[in-house]
Formats: sequence, structure tokens, C-alpha cells
Amino acid sequence: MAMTIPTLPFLPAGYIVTPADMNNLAACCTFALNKPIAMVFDSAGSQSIATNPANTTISFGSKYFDSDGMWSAGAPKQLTVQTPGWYKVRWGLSLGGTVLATCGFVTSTSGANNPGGAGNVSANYWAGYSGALGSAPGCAGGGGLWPFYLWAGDFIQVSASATGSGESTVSTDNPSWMSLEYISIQQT
Amino acid sequence: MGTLPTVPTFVANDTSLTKLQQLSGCVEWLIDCSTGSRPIWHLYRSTTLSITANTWTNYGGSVQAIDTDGVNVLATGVVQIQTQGYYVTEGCGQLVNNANDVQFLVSFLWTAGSNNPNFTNGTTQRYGTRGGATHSTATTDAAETPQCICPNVCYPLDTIQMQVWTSSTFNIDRNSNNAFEQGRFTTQFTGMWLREGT
Repeated sequence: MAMTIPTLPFLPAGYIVTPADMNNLAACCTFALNKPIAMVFDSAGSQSIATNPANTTISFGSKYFDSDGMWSAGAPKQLTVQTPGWYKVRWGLSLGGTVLATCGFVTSTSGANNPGGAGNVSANYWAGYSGALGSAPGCAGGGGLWPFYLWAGDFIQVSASATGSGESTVSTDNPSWMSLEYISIQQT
Repeated sequence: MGTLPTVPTFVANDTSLTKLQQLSGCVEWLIDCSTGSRPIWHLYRSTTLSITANTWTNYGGSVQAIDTDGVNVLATGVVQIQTQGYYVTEGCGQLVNNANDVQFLVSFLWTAGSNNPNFTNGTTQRYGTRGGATHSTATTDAAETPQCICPNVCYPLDTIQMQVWTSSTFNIDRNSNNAFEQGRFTTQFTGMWLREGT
């Protein structure tokens, strides 16, 4: 369900503006007012977090909203870009257990439309940390502008690792979540 | 209350100045955060606050650096939405120097108002929680900075507040530059309109 990237009209001196030009400008506004956003969450909890250096890719089995079809129940561990552009990612992990610390981070994986080819996994970005204190809850989180232009088919994932065994996600009150917000097109 | 813009449709030989003004209004909404345009707010505390252990507490900052849509109408740190749409909220909760490690969380609480067609008036939802065990000392403050899109489309009279929770009673201090330990990090709550929604 990708949005159509709007066309910015070129209006040189002496040019007679057409309805199509004006409607293209209007379409730019519609795009900006209704840009792609998605936010998904871990409704089930109880996902066991691997011990460092191994990590666990988090599954988000439910969605709060998804205006562009980036999430599917068949692929709950990722948000797949439908409308190419620059995005901002945000995430949060709700954790329960007695493990000393858990660190989460975000990666992207290229899809078939990516000029670099499919299957290329990025470095780990926008990491966040949470320390446990006895059995009290911890909530790691992070976010920021994704450092790469994302093509339709590229996808984003959140992963985490803990300092020991026994850490897991919890779903009560404030479940783990991930979101994508469209920031900008790139004309050239 | 800000007025959501109308996107016009142009036809051949169109001479409508109204439509041009509507188009201008869309652009203004998207790029201008003046009063009456796209909502944004930034509130912070100017007084100390004692937080009871194991209790989610409204951080209560009502001093406004900016409030383009009058959301600070309650002046309690609880913002009241005036313009329908999706919102993103950001905050910084501060833990004044504490000699003992504590569990410290900061989050947002959304509450449905009487105009919300999707939820019963008074329904709440916590979101964006961030925090964990701190390792603050007697001379160093700690802080958590959550950021999150509100999971629900907000309607006028819905409210959002930033809350803090800790495993031991502690204090939030005011914004001050008197000394390194004195309110070094501003306790702040920021939000902005993100996108249309229903």
C-alpha cells in the first residue's frame, strides 16, 4: 500500500501554470499531512532475551496503527518500507527478570529494490540500555533518523541481548514497541 | 485551537483565490509553528517535587516555553489536546542526586476525553516508558528521556501527561544553574502534532 511520491512542479518565468501543476502542489500537501507512520507492539510478552554476544530479534505481534502496510502478522519481527524515503525509528523494550542489564538496537536489511541488492544488513544503530534492579522492571529504548535512505522492501528490526540468562519481555501495562515515521522524500 | 488545513482541487481555468489560500494554508500548517497553526508545546518545572515510591506521578511542569495550541490550559503539567491528530511526545525526567541505586522510569499517560469516538471517556494508556536501574551518587543527577508517538489518534479534550516512577522516594528539582548538583537537567515535556488521523 505505498503512497505515491508527489511530483514537485517546475514553474519557470513565463510559464503558464496548469491545473496539473496546482494539483501536484496540492498532492505534496496531502502527502505531508498523511505521511506513512506505523507503530507495533509485543502483545504477548515472554520473549526470552539471548545472552550477549548472541541477540534476539524482537517479535511485535500486534499493531497500534499502520497507515502504509508496513507490518504483517506473517512477518512480525519487522517493519517493511512501502514508500521509499528517509524515516525516523523509535523503539522501547519492556523487560522483566533479574538480569543485570539489557541492550537493544536497530538494524535495517535491504530488499530487492535496493540498488545494493537484497539481504544486506546494516550495522547496529540507535542502541539503548536498561539495568535491572532485583525484580523491578526495566525499559530500554532509543530512536533517531535512520542513517540510510530506505527503499520499498527494505525492513527495520529491533534486537536485544542481556548480560545473562533469564531476561524476557513483559507485556503488562506498557508492552515493547517499535515505530517508523516518514521524514522526507529525496528527489535527487 | 488550530484549524486543520483543507487541501484544494484545481480544475481547468480555475480562478479561485480561495483555493490558492487553502493551498497556502496547508503549507503554513506544515512549516509554521506559530500560535493557531501546527500544535507544539514545551513545558518544564520550576519548583521541586517529591515522588512517592512505587507510584506513577505526574511530573507536573506547567511553565511553558512554547504552546501554540493552548494545550497547557489546565496548567498542571497535563496537556489537553485541542486539535485532532497523531502526536509525538518527548520528555526528560530528572532524578536528583541519590546516594542509593533506585529503579527509575519515565513514561507518558494518555487519557481519552469525551470527544473521542474510539474510546470510552477516561480510558487510559501508558506508552513510551523508558528507564531502569540508575547508578546515581550523592553528587550526580540522573535522567531518562523517553520519546514516542502516542498509540492513539488524539481528539480534543484527550489529555497526555509525563509521569515518573521510582522504587524509592526521591525528588525532582527545579530548572536551576545554581550548582552542578542543583537541578542540572531540566525536567521537560514536549509534544507536537505529527499527522492527520481518525
